[in-house]
Amino acid sequence: MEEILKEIGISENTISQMEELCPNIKELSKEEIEKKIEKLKEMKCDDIQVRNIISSNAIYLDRSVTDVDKLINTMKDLGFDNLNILLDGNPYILNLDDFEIKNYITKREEKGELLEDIVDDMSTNPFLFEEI
Amino acid sequence: MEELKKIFKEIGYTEEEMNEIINEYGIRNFKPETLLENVKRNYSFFLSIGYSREDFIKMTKTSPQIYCLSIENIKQKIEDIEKLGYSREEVIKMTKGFPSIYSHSIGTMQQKIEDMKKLGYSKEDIIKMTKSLPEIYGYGIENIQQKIEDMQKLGYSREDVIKMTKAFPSIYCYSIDTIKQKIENIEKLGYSREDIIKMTKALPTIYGFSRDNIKQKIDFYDSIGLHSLAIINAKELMQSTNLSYARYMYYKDIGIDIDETNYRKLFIGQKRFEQQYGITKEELLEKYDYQKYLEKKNTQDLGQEVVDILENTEYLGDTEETIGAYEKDEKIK
Repeated sequence: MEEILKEIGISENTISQMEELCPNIKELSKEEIEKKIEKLKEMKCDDIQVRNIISSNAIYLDRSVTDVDKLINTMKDLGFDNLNILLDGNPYILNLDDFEIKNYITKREEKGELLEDIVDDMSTNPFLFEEI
Repeated sequence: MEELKKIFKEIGYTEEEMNEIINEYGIRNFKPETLLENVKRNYSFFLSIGYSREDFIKMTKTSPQIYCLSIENIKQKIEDIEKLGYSREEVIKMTKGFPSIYSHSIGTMQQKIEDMKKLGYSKEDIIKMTKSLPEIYGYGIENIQQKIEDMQKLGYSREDVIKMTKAFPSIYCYSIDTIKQKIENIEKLGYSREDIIKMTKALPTIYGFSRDNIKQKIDFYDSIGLHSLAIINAKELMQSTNLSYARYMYYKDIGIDIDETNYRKLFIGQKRFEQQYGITKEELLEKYDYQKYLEKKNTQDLGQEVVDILENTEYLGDTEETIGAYEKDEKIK
């Protein structure tokens, strides 16, 4: 596990902090981590963004690929674009489930906001995902 | 036993994982036929209520006791957790991340909520926090109390800590030494302890950012004269540096210099930006590629380093002179 994290530029010190946040990552195989890196690259994350996202959010590594796929597809369907930029800013979005984003947007829509405006607002202010 | 091995293999466990489960306390006393029945029954049930095979394997590897639970017991547990204020989907999400919840009694969970309320959280806060960090149900209340006190010693008020952990409960996952180390890392970037307290109160997720991530952000804003952005508007640090760089360069190209008086231009909504300047985010990011800029900068920095070494090393200087003299001699020949 450590080897592949070091390969993407994460220091030993940061790895131990990641393990504090999510001890389960110690049990992950090289293949499991590679799959998560690949997912980020599919979203056009460059090497620095991959390093930033993983080193700042170890929980992402421990999530199921199915849940991550559902989340990404839902976000794209809702109109979020340039996900690499959004996730680089707020890597913790990757810990959400698709239904949580849908529910949050529905609540705002019920108050009269348009989907397009909500997505623009969330994309511009990635800290808003913390309200979810 | 053979049939048990076969079913474990079919579900997707390795032999090693299977042996660990079989030898787990509470499971090893089962007769093979009873365990076989439980494995088949619980696997089908968990899949029927919304877990994937991948989730189920991961959960039972962490918490093999799931195989000891009866269907009635699991159904009752889910209903009880829902009554605490979670939706069915949220219960499933929480238990995927922290399957041990199935081993907690509902009384223990209620007690944790009550204890957290005494610390200053509302029930709503606790529900929200545990949705993103269900591990809180596994933390001793003394540990949480201790963490709050440790954070107070670093310069936060009790109210600050409550507010920060509501927004970013993962703070509870870090040891106080890690928090101190993160503070030191930010101090090295040119901020005082007071500055750091202020910025992390506004954006507690700073404690989650890795050192390299935060350094990249600060280095960029330093380079454009906006060192104080992290203090006056920390939340803007959540915008990707790639986008801030692209916008900064775009403004520069059209004759707008970004400084402390107009830095908000870097963070306006995309829709507004497009309407005002007629350039999409894709076009902007392609035209002003931050990664390419960094690569170029690194090469230049490296070049400068070599020049500095050559200038400051007597031996190399001598060597250069020798090479120069040699080349001159060769030309004469």
